Amino acid sequence: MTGPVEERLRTERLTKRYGTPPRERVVVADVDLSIPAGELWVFSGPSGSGKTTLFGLLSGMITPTSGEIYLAGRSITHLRDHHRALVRRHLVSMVFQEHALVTGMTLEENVFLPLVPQGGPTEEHRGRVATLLERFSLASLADTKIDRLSAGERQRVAIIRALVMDAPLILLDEPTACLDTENVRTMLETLLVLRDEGRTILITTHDQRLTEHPAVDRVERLVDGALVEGARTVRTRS
Amino acid sequence: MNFLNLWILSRVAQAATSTLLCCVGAALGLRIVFRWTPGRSCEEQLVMEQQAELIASMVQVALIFEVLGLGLSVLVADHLVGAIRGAMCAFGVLASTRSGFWCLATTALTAVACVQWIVLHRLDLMTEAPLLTRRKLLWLVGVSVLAVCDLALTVGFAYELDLKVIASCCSVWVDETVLRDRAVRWVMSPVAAGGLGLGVVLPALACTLATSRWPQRTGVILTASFLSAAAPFAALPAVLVVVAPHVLETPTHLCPFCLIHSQGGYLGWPLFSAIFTGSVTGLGLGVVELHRSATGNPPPVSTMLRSLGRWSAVSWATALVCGVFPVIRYLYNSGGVSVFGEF
Repeated sequence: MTGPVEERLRTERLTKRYGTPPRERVVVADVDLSIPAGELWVFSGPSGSGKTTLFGLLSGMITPTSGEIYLAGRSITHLRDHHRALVRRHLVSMVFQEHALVTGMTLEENVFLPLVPQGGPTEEHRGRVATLLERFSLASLADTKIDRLSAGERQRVAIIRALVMDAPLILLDEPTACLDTENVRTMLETLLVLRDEGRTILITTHDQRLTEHPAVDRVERLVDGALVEGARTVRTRS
Repeated sequence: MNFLNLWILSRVAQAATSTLLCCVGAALGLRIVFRWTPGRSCEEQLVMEQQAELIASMVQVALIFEVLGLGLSVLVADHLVGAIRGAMCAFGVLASTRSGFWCLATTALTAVACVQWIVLHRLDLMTEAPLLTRRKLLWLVGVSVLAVCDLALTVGFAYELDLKVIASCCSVWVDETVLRDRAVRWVMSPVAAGGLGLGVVLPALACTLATSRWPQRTGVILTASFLSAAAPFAALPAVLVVVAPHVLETPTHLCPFCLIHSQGGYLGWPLFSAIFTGSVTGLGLGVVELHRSATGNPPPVSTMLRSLGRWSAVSWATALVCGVFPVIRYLYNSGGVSVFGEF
C-alpha cells in the first residue's frame, strides 16, 4: 500500500497581467496546477505563450496579479520580497533562458555563486560539481572565463549551477536550446536520477526531443497564457 | 518676514515636507485599511499589499525627517539667540512667544510617536506576510494628526516670533523660579532630584540590559519600557539642578538650554540625545512586546528586542556618563567641595 503523494507545487487560478486597460495583456490566465514531488513535467507552447512568466511566478521571482501559489504546502503569494527570496533560495533552482551567468567570472566561480549566501561551497558541493562537470564534459574548462565559452557550454554551466543547490524544485527554461543530442541525453539522464530521488522538475521547451521523451511524466501545453486541456499528455511510469 | 530667515525657513520646510508625506501616506493608508482582507488572493488585495509596502517605505523616510526635526527645532531656536535681544540661549527664544514651548513639546511628542511607528514598521517587515499592516496604517493616522499639530505650532511660532522684542531668558524664568519658590526648592533640591534621576535611570538601564540578554521575558520587557518612558521626566530635574550647575559652575544657573552652548561644553547634545534615544528605543520594546503575539513570534522578533534593548541600554549608560561626569570633574577640580557649598 502506498502513502499519499506529497504535493510539491500547487497553483490556484494563477493570473499575471501586464499594463492597464485598454492596453492590458494577460500573460498567464487562471492556471491551476497540482504537481507532486518526484515528477518531471514539460510545458510546451508557442513563443509568447507565457511559459517563462509562468516559471517566474512559480519560482516566486514575479508576483502574481491574482491567485495562489503553494510551494511545499506553503503559500508564497503574500510573502514579502525578502522572505520570498529566502524560500526561493532553499526550495527552488532555476535555469534561465538567457543563462544569467556572470561573464567576468570563471565557470567554477559561476557554479558556486548561489552558495555564497550559505557561506560558500562545502566538500560535498565540490564533489558534486566535479562529477557534474565530468558528466557534461566541462571538467577541463573549470577555470575558463564565461565569455570564452560557446553557447552550448554556457547552457551546460547554467544547468550545473541549478543542480548544485540540491533544491527540491528545479525549473529549467528552454534548457536544450543550444544543446546537441548527446548533451540533451546527458541532461535528461541527470534529471531523471534527481526525479527518482524525489525532486520535482519542470521544463519549458519547444524541443520535441523532450516533449516526446517517454520518461517525461506529463506534458502540458500553454497557449495565450492558459493551459490547453485537450493537449495534455500524461504518461504512466513503468 | 520671519519666514525668510534661513533657519526658520529650513525648519518650516522640513516640518511641511514631512507632514505632507505623512498625511498623503495616511490618506492612502485609510483607503487600504477599509478594504484590507488578509489572506485573500484576489487582485485587489495583492495590489493593496504592494501599495501598503510602498506607502510604508515612503512614510518611513518622512518620519525619520520628522524625528530629525526635533534636533533641528532646538538648533534653530539656539541660532536665533543672536537675533533677539536679551535672549542668552534657546530658552529666551522659545519663551519670547506663547507657542514656543508648546511647539517644542509637540515636536518631541511627534518624534516619539514617529519612532514608535518606525519600530512597528520594522517589526511588520520581519513577519513573512503583512500581518501588522492594518495596525500600522491606522497608527499612521494618529502620527499624521500629531505632525499637523506640530506643523501648525511651528508656523505659529515662526509667525509670532518678534525679532525686535527684548526678551527675558533662563535667568528670570528658570533660575529665579526654582530658587525663590520654597515648594519648588524642596522638590528640586539637588539630593532629591539627583536621587530621583538615578533612581529611575539606573533601573531603566538594568531592565533594558536584561531585555537585550533575555528577550523572552515579558515582565522585564514591559518594565524596561515603562521605566524608559518615565526616565526623561525623572532625569529632567536632575539635569536642571545637579548637572547644569556643575557644568556651568554656577549654583544658581539651572538652564538646560545653556548646556548646548560652548559655555556648557556642548554637553547638552549628547546628554539629551542619549535621553531621547534611550527613552524611544525603550518604549519601542513595549510596542514590539504588545504586538509579538500578532506576528506569531518568529525568531527575528527576539533579535529585534535584543537590538532595541541594547540601543536603549547604551543610550541610558551614555546619559548617565554625561550626567555624572561633570559632577565628578567639578568635585575633583574643587578638591571635593560641592558647587552648592554644602548639601
